[in-house]
Amino acid sequence: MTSSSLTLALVAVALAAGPVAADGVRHVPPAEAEAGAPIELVASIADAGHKDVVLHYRARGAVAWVDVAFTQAAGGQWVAAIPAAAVLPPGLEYYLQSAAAAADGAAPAAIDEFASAADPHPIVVRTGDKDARRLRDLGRTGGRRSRAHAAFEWVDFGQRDNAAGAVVPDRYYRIDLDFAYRLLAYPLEEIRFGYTRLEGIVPNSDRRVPADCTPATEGSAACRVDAGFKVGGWFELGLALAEGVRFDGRGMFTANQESFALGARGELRAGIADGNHLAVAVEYMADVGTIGSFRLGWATVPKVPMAMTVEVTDLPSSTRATGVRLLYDAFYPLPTGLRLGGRLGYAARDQIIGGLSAGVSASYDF
Amino acid sequence: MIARWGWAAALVVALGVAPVAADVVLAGRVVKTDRREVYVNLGEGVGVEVGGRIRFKRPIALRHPVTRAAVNDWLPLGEGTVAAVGNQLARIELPPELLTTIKAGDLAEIYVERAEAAPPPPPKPAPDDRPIPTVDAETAQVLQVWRATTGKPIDERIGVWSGWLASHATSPYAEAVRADLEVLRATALAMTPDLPGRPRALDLHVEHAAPKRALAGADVPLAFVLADPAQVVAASLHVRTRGQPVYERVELVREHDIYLRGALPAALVAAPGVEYFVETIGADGSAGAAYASDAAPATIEVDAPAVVERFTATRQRTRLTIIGSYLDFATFDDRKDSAGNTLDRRDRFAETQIDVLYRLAGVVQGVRLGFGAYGGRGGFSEAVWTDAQPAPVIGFQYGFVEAELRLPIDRGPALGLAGRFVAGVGREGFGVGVAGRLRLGEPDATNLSVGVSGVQQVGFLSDLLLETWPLPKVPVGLSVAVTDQPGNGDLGVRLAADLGYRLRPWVRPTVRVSWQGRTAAHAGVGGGLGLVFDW
Repeated sequence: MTSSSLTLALVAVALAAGPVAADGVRHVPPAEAEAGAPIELVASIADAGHKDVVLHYRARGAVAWVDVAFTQAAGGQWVAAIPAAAVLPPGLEYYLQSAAAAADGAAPAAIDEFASAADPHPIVVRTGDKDARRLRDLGRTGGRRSRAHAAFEWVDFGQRDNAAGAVVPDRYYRIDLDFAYRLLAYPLEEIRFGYTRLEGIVPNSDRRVPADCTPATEGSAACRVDAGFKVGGWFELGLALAEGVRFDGRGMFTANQESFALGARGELRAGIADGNHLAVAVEYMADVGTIGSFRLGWATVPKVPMAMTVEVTDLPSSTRATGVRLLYDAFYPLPTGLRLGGRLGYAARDQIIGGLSAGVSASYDF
Repeated sequence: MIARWGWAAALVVALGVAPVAADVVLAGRVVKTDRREVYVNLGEGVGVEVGGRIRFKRPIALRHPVTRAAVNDWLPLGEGTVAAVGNQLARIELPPELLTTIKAGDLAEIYVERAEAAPPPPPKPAPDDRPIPTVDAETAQVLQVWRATTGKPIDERIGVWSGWLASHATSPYAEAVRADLEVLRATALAMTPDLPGRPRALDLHVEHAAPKRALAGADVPLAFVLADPAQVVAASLHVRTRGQPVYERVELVREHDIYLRGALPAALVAAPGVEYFVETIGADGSAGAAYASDAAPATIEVDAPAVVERFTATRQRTRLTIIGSYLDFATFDDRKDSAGNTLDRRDRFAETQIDVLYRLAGVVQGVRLGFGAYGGRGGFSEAVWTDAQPAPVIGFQYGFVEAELRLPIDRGPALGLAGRFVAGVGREGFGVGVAGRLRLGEPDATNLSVGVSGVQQVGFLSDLLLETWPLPKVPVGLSVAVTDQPGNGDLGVRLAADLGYRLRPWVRPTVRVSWQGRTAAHAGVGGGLGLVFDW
């Protein structure tokens, strides 16, 4: 910017003079402060003997003002302090007023000296990076650190048959119950314990009912397999690699149709789990199968966050052919911390036969 | 130039370790000033050459804020170029902004390269084993500010110390700092160029406590206190994101006569930082830097937004697209057998898809996830289908995920690269596919793109697509594609035109017409409908 253009710009913005002379109260306002440390506001008061100067402050977002009178300190300055306990992120706002006793003994009239109740001056309160991040994370969860969650899902890949007329379903259901606690001890952000039950029935072949099965024998082990497990316990760590980038790693122990077995799950997610996010996940359960999925969640529809998921899986039995599941989720969070969800989807192992997926979920944050 | 001085400094350090030459930084004084030039007492006798750059500093005598010991410091003023060299003196040309700034007695420094060997380094002093004294937190903070301001421009020093004093008025060092501020302000006033009609005593400066850091994308409210309110009739705040060449002007509101309040606009508060300065106009019409300056602005550090910020819910980030299209390659194929019977040469397919796009800021411009179903019959131009040889049936149900990158190119139109992974099931079971698209231009403006995709059991398709908005509410897309769909059949070409209309800001129906053929005789038409929702 050249000095001439600058001068022109300045001339164009001649200041409208404010209320005349604030009776000699001079104060350089601080712009920021450290959380947990008192703020000492300093003013020079020319006619201090004839009026009282009062600081009015409040936390940002609060309604009520707290009043502190300025007192004289060494060096002729006047000081009012905001106590350490009140200096909390994200910040404070304040204004200064003076009141001079009226000559006729009437109540003194308050005069704004710096800023005003309608337009207070803000002070940003800073914390350490981790503390600030913790506050932001808690802000997203309404300050709630714990979550109890339950989900039920019914998955149908369609009924399979053969030339002899034997019919065997290809389906499973899954129940997940878990409890999560947000530690916010970065990078460890969350720990989660859970229980999973997954049971299904599938033909004893990859995509078909064995040819030698008949309607009379379709219930036999040679034609259909009971897949899954009744009891699976797991433990998960949520590692926040950066704010908004998280890896959830899970170890799983199951008692399936054959024996004790292990499983694992990993999910890498960018964004906010209950809001806008993109996630890629892999889950493996011995003998039961593997799931690979992509999920896009969006919270841009007011009050109803949604998600779409593309899942590649051979569940509920690793002997089955790989199929796809296309899933749509919608949630309804309530102010109480309760969050209800519904799921609809389509599942197929080939283009000829497919079935519906449906599920419900509920979680409660506290 | 900075690099050169830095190199010189590095060299000096290196010399201290292994001296090989005597390159030096020479120090002299300004001995005379003229209208456009100044003279310094450094000449060719000490190695000064025409064209060399010379740096000017103003000596200033201060007192240490803690010990109150006298400290000789200097203020950076600027640089000039050696125009002529005599044996003892050099004539220096100055840039216009320094013409009235440089005074006789100012320090002049120039870097000189010498060929002769450097003198041996002085002997190393004996190590000082005395324990390092410890200081209380308040003293340490004063010392930190002192160190941070040493060698800085005078406006920056005044700003920093004013800010410190505003929040430490009762500090035991406050009186000392006040005294030093008076010296600094007097020096600043003396350094201000003389302007016609301007009284030298006019103080247009402001006191200000500057924030050190700010959140990206949020307003930064600021307040300034006029040093001499009666002398100032106007003030203006000038702001820019660090790295940008131009400042934007922001109006400051005067309150209670002595205060100026305003805010750095959120749009300019971006990483790596935001810079600003305040200019005031005095009652006599003279203008001056009140706090920092355009050449040496105050700086607030701004952290790059965290990944999570890119996922913060805002408007116009989400798009839902639903499309359905039908292509027939045999509409006009009326070839008959020898008996004149129409032959069954059916060759067609249909596709429907629903997807959600979520836009992101940064290199990753958007992510998209969707579902689709695909079905068709035929795929061959010369085949005749009979009961014995029916047309093959092709089907595929799939999901996909896509990411579009905006390549970081400064010049020319925007360049985007999208990659898609497809997973689905066909009549033969599970299959996967990939797709890619290179786009020249903005996605929602005129752009040209080339795409290629291949999906197991379905086939491949490559296309060239031009999208444009001939009218504000009417997008048009024209494409030419080569494909062997459905089902890896014969190659064919498809010409398609898409026409949309923005009914509301959030909804846009589209219609498609197409012609496609595998040979001149085996060709047909197609069509499609779509709906696009933006919110």
